[in-house]
Amino acid sequence: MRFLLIIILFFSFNLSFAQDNKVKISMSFENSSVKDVLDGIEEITNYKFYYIESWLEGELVSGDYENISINIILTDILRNTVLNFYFLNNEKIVLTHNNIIYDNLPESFFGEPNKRVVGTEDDQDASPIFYDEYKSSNKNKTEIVRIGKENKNTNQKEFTLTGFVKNMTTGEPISNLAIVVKGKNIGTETNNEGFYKIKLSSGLNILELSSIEIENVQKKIFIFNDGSFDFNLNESYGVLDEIVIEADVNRNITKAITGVSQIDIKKIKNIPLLFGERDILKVATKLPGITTAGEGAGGYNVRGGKSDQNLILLDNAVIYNPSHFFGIFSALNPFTSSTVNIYKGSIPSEYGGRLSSVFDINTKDANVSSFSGEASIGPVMSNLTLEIPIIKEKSGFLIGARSTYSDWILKHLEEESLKNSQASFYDVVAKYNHKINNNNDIKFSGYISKDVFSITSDSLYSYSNRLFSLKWDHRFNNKNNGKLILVNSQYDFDINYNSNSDINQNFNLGYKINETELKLKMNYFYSDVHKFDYGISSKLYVVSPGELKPFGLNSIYDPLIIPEERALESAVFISDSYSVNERLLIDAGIRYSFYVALGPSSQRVYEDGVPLGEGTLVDVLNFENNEVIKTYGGLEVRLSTRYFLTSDTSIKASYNNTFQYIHTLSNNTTVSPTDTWKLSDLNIEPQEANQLSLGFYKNFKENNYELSIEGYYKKFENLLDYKVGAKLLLNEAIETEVLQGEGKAYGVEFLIKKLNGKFNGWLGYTYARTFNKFDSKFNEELINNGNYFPSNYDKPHDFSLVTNYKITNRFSISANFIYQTGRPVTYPVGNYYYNGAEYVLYSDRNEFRIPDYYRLDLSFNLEGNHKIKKFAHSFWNFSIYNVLGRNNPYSVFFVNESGEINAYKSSIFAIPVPTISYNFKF
Amino acid sequence: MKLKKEYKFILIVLIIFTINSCVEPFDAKTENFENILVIKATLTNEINYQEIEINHTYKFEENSPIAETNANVKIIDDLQNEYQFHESTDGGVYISSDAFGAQPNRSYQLSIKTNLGKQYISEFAELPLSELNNNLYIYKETDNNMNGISIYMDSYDTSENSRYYRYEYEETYKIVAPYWSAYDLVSAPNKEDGVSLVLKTKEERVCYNTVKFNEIILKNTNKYGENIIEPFLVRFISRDNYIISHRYSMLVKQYALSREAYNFYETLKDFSESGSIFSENQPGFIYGNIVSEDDPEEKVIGFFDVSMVFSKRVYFNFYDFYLGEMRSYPSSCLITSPPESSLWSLMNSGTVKFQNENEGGEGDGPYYLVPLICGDCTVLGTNIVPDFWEE
Repeated sequence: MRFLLIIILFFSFNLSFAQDNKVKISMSFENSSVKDVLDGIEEITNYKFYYIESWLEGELVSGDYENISINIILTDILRNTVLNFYFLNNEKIVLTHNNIIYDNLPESFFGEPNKRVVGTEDDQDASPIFYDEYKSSNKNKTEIVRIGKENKNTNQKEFTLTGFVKNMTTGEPISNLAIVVKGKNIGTETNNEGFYKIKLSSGLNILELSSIEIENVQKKIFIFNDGSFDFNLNESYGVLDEIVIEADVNRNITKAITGVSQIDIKKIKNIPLLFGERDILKVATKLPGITTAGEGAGGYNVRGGKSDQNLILLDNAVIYNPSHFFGIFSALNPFTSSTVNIYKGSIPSEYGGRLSSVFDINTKDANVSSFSGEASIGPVMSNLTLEIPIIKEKSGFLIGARSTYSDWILKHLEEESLKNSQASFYDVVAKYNHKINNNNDIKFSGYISKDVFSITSDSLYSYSNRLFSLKWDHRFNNKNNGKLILVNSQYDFDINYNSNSDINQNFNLGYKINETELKLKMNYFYSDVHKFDYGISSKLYVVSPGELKPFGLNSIYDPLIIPEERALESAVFISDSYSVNERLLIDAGIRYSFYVALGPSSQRVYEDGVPLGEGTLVDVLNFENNEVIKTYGGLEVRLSTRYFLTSDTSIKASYNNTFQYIHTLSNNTTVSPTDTWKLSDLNIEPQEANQLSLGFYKNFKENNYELSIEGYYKKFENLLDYKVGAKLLLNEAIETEVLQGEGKAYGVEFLIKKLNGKFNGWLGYTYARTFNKFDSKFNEELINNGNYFPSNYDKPHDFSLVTNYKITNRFSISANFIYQTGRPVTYPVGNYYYNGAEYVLYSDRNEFRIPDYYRLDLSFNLEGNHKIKKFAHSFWNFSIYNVLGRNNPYSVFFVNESGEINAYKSSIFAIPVPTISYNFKF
Repeated sequence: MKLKKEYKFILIVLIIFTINSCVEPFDAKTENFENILVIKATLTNEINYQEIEINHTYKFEENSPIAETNANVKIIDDLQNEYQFHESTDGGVYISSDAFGAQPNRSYQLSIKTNLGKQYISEFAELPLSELNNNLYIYKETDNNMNGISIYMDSYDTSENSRYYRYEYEETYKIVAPYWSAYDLVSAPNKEDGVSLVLKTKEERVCYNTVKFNEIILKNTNKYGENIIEPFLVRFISRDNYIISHRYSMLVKQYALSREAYNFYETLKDFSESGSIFSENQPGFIYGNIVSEDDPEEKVIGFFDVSMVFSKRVYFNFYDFYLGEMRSYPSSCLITSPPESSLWSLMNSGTVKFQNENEGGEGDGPYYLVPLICGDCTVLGTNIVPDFWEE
């Protein structure tokens, strides 16, 4: 392929620039960087070079030239790169970054100017346009768009350009597309509906558009008045991932909200991961502030929050358990996901109901013009995604499915203990998108995931998520648009215990939670200064907390059904993004959430002022269907500000408070993966959190480096934890087994990213602490004497390094290194004898820590070749997880086995795990 | 060929995937061992010699607790009356010097000065008042799965004051050796002198055994319900269990507790159960009501519990329920008649007992012998009749 490229390069130079290479120079250099050579040419000639430094990294060249045309020298030194050069006005040489060869381009590649555009003109002296080299026409013809008429009587220096960006082939709006004014460090990005708005200084502006799916495009715009311009862009066909993706180039510094991370699914391909599975949420945990309790722990802890405090949304519907196999894999298909936004600092006012974070994951829209697909084959699972156009250019259907084949292999093994064990999972996601007309879009998605596994040979665990989402986008006019969302999600788990040795112990236990939400969200672009978001939402919860079905005639268990719980959680919200001036942006939002626990229900009433217990029960109230049991509510403030210190440096501050009306109770000292969700009721109050954060952000070297330092302080109220001795499962009066207490968390997060170049990646370090406190005047309600103690997931030091080095176009290596302080545990510290029996003495809650966690992973990636005509683009990944073979214990636990206390530690991957996987795209 | 390669990887993966192989035992040396004082103190309203046990926690690799010796133990009431305790011969057990019982409307405090001079005191505790009526019921169960005797208890409190109860129970049963003989066959000091029949000097026919149960049984009533404890099964004894073969007695002590004491026992009870996943619970330190005076943060295990006790005892005989039926015994009592030559060493080993003389019956030897347990009941119990025993 490189041969082909070089030939084309030569060919095109000879064709187009034969007259420009008259200047002959002499120079020699050895093992110099390309940049040094270019600098040298600049010194001895009048030529000036224009390029991005990161393009030239790593390449060393040697040469000895005597009175040779500059054209030849440049051709030689750029031979091993994908760069092209271009003479401009005989004194300027522009290097361009090409790696895609087009046969031709659609005629409307540069979009169709709409009515507001007054005129276009040919510009013979046009600057070189990227990707313009191989147009079939010989003439470099570029359009200039002129917006408005020049008015000599106005002093106005700035005008606003608005418009929509659409995919020319599919007609889909293109969201998250970065629009940057070249050389000016001004930028914006399109919203979900493809709408953009940017302030341009009067006169000529060169707009650069770039995003993942779309070919990078430059557009010259002469602006003399406020106006609008719609872009219709072409999909970048045949583009694998080596184009420089510049979406959100300056998102780091410009957004007002603090603590937001965006993960670009296409970019995580090279990060070494367990079993070669690209995993969005696993990558998230390598960012500061997001951790898991350990390998194999489901759930994420964001800034000292419990794992139930994250609102994880797939197409606006909640996924209760986004993990497969104890959290070793996430349940999100990387092929079908488009963007993931993680809000861990300030949460936009449209979201609520969880204290610590929002993971907003969107499924990509199906291709409406042609059939395409992607597949991967790995040792654990395979993945196939298809995009099928239904009505050409209007609607399409996407379906992605992943499944393991471990069960099939387990059954074929000789080893008896393995033969009877089970471990399998699958997930399927489907989406239908239909563009009714320019103002109306409908999207429907469905998702299902299921896990089945056995921990011991006689028990079978399974859990399943399923969700539906319907979204209708409507554009009222240029200033107003809205969306109506209807979602339903369900999570359930099931434990089936079927022992051959003791049939009397057999049982089946089931748990289920279901929620349905209707939400209306409106955007109102009032002016350049004020943009409003507002809306209303309401959600109905139905929880079936547990049903125990014994089987076998003489089961030692009695059938037990813990009655259903119901509640309605509603909210109204409004926020204003207010640009006070060029430097200061304020994003102010409020949300009022209101929670109603609904009947039918029997609620226990306890004596005042004493711990809740069976003996302090004074009454049982019965509530009719839909009768209000208890209401809770509160005003939530979402305030964040950004202030530009310089054009590439900003500081941000935010204050945030949140309510959460639904709780989980989890315990990490046992092996059972059964967290159940409990709704707030008469006895259990909602949780509340307040967070303050302050951050400093800087981009440098043309946005190639991003630096951020963010600190936060967070207070929690009414956190739920178990009393000592509490039973973890099937509790009819759970309020008597739990405590509600305070928590606090604080930390500093440091992140530096290098986005582009041969060598890229990031380095994150977090110092964070999180503590809980359960104090009471009653001894039985004390934990650790009522003092603050580290929470289960308190990991003070967390260091991640993610790097990727591209050796050639097709071959790259990546490495991750992770270090974390071991998480706290409660240890048995001795025995004692009481009342004729032996007991285990436990330390204070979370007094000790398991050993520190560290891990190095490596991966080698090989791209298939890039011939256009080839049926599929392929990608090989060979990775080694835990290269150092570090035995990182996930948990330690203690079992009383016939009077003996035995200690066990479980570690999930104590040896290096090599994997090969094969991906292809067609 | 591609598939073959992957298959190998899959195998590696699978081996790791089986969680069982990821869980490995490790040696939890108690390097973090905490030496904590463990105090068990229950003061009842019964006028009696009250007992307090003081021990220390011990390491996993040790087998029994370390007793606290030479401690100065006393109970003080709110009128500053002091009840002194002294160390008994059992390690760590302190017995009151005088017989006394907790009085209504008085509050009591436990005070301990350890051997090392550390001072511990309990919170003041008052006697929970209760007017309890309790009953034990004995039922004969004839169900195939449950053939035997059940003992149920119920209670009713007229005072409506106390709502928390703890139960302790013990059983005592009579054992009769089925092949007892008035004679013993005794081996002479020298083998040459053989064996001789002598009259027994020790009671070996009728014995008694008392078993105390350590299981924590707790019951409560609440304001919402009436102050009634529904009948619950205290003990089920199978028809074939030899302990009911003659006469059986059960004593149940029902303690009326304070809410705090109840909670302490309840948490303790949670940790004593093991078995199914339903008994998994949150580990942690169980706070009692005794603190160190020198260091309020120092951990002390134990509860000074002042409680009203209501005891109930019942008796029944085998023939009350199974008149004329076969009685069970722990041994099938095979009768043998070994040759005379082996008698000396057999009797010397102490594993058999003389049953009768073989006067021309089956077997080679001159005597019929039975296993020790069939001829001597002291193997299973004590030959001393308990004080309380009623025939």
